[in-house]
Amino acid sequence: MTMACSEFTSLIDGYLKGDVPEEKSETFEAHFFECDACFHELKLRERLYSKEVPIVLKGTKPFWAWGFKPVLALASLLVVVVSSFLVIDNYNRAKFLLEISGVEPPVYVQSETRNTFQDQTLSKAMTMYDNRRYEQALELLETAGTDSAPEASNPQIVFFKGICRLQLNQPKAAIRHFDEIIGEMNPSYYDEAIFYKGIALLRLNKKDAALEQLKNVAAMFSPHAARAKEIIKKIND
Amino acid sequence: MTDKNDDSLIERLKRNEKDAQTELVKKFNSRILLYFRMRIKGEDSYEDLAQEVFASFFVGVANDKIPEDALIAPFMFGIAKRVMFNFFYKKKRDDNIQKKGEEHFDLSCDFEEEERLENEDMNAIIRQTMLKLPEVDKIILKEFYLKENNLGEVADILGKSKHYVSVRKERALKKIKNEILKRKDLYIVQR
Repeated sequence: MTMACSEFTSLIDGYLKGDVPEEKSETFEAHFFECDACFHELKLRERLYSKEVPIVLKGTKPFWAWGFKPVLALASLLVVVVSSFLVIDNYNRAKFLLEISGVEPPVYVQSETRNTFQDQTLSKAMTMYDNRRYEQALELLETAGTDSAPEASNPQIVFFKGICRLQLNQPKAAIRHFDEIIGEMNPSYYDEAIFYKGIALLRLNKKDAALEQLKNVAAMFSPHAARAKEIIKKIND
Repeated sequence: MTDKNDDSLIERLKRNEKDAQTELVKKFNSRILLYFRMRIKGEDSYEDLAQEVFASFFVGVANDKIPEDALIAPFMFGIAKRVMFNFFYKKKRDDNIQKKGEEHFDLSCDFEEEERLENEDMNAIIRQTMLKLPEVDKIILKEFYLKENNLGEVADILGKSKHYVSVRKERALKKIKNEILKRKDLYIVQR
């Protein structure tokens, strides 16, 4: 009884695994003694089962081993160009927001508060502030805050600490001080804290959040309302 | 099926031509060893058995037991089968059957070494052809032959159908086989 090559091929894997029934095995063996092509196929699969031929799959190649792929190169170029535009656009936007956030710090009028603040440290701190020596002013304000408990939560100290931080280009820390005042809803510095929080947010390039704060101020009966409207207009333009 | 070369090969064997013996060994050695490997498991060496098959065949040719127009392959297979039965018989009875014809033929050929070299050639061709295969085909062959998963398991690994895996596997094997047939004609005797 002979076997067709197609049947032989279908039985090869089974034969090598010992799954072909005895009655078929003999015909199968007779066939591979006769047929060269089928025997080579049998040998090929036996070689694969022998595990002597490693099958190496492509791993993640280092980029220098990728070889030149025109489509990939073009896509990469496109990504670089688009990213550059986005970076430049983002940079310009941030620069613009920084420019319009460059408002003058509020003026501290010593004569108005000198009588209120008895603490010498605080007085010195505000002198420093007047002289635009914000770092030293902040240091003294921190000391003033801790030395005298009532002043620690004094909204004026907190507010000017925020202003000093803003001037020292620490907008995040400034926002924490302003939030403290906004949270307590202290009427003395409430609208100012919101306004300068808006400015700090502009410096952080958070346009929408800044607009929200500035719009709040613009809607208030506040000396900062006009300035807030002006900045909003600039942003929207 | 008639082997055009068989007539002349048997004639040459009758004339005791060394080349004819080598040609015969080259063609059937690997088949005989594979046959014994599949049939007799757990043996260290099938060398003696292969030698016995060839020796029997040469004795047959020398004693005119094999007609000149006969096909060699069925005779070889028949002898291989008989040698295998004898092996089991010997093993069972612990009987030493004399090997006929050994004194007449110089078969000092290292059958297993011959096959090892042949396998190395084939391994090299498989390795080279494998590099040209798509990754998915390599994964299929690796999972099926090296890890011995069945088609269904390979299909599950790839998230494809069993039919897809089966078709790709056969195509990949065909590519490799064609490459072997193209480049390895040294022991292929035209039928």
